[in-house]
Amino acid sequence: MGTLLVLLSVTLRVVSNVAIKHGVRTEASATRHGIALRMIRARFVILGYAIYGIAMVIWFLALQTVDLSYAFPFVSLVIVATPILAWRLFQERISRRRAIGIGVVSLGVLVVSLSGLF
Amino acid sequence: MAAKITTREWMCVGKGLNAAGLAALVIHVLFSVGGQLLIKLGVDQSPDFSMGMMRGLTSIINAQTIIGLAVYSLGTFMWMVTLTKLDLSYALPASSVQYVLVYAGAWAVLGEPLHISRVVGIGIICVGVVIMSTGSELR
Repeated sequence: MGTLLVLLSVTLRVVSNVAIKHGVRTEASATRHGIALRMIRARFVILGYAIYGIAMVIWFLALQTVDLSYAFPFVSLVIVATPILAWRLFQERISRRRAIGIGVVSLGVLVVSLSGLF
Repeated sequence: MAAKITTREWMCVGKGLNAAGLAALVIHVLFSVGGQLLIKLGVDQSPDFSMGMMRGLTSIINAQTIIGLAVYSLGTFMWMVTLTKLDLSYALPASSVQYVLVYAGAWAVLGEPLHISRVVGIGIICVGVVIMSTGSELR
């Protein structure tokens, strides 16, 4: 249960990142206002921060049932999943080196998740 | 009369390692780690939310979790400041030290056990972060 909440929180963090990036992209074409105002007005940016808030609430609930030293390494999945989604949605490039790094970080999280067993 | 600081100067474009960026990075790491430890301390004081979703949600709000969340948020803000002053290829691998520090803190402050799989896994994660964020063909 705790692991599921940890994964849900991390997933929402990734969705939040993608929503904020999409909002900033959408609003980048508007030139009438200052950059700060434009970023605040972007609905996807606000949505992104709201999702981040929900992710933090779920993080709190997760920490009620699992160790911090078990849950925190899962946060590194954010920098694994975000580039993959950015590649699928925004056509951002992933270099071979970055792809290898993504695989290694994922392996590390998998090893940490084994601590429930060993 | 003070000279006007250009955007290029504020962003430290082409400046490489600089004291302001390193200071922001250190504050980011310390606040992120400290915030997480405070949140866990606060959450541990509240009853398990299996006793009821609403009771779990309301009891979670206490001094430690609120201060912890504020500290962690400041840490996240300092990450954005860091990225305006340092290259991501330096800042991201350096910030992965927080995985080690959170474990050290959880062990020392919270009394969480040392698991061989957690130690090895965190080591692998740090290696992976260094691989994915360094190298010439980053962009």
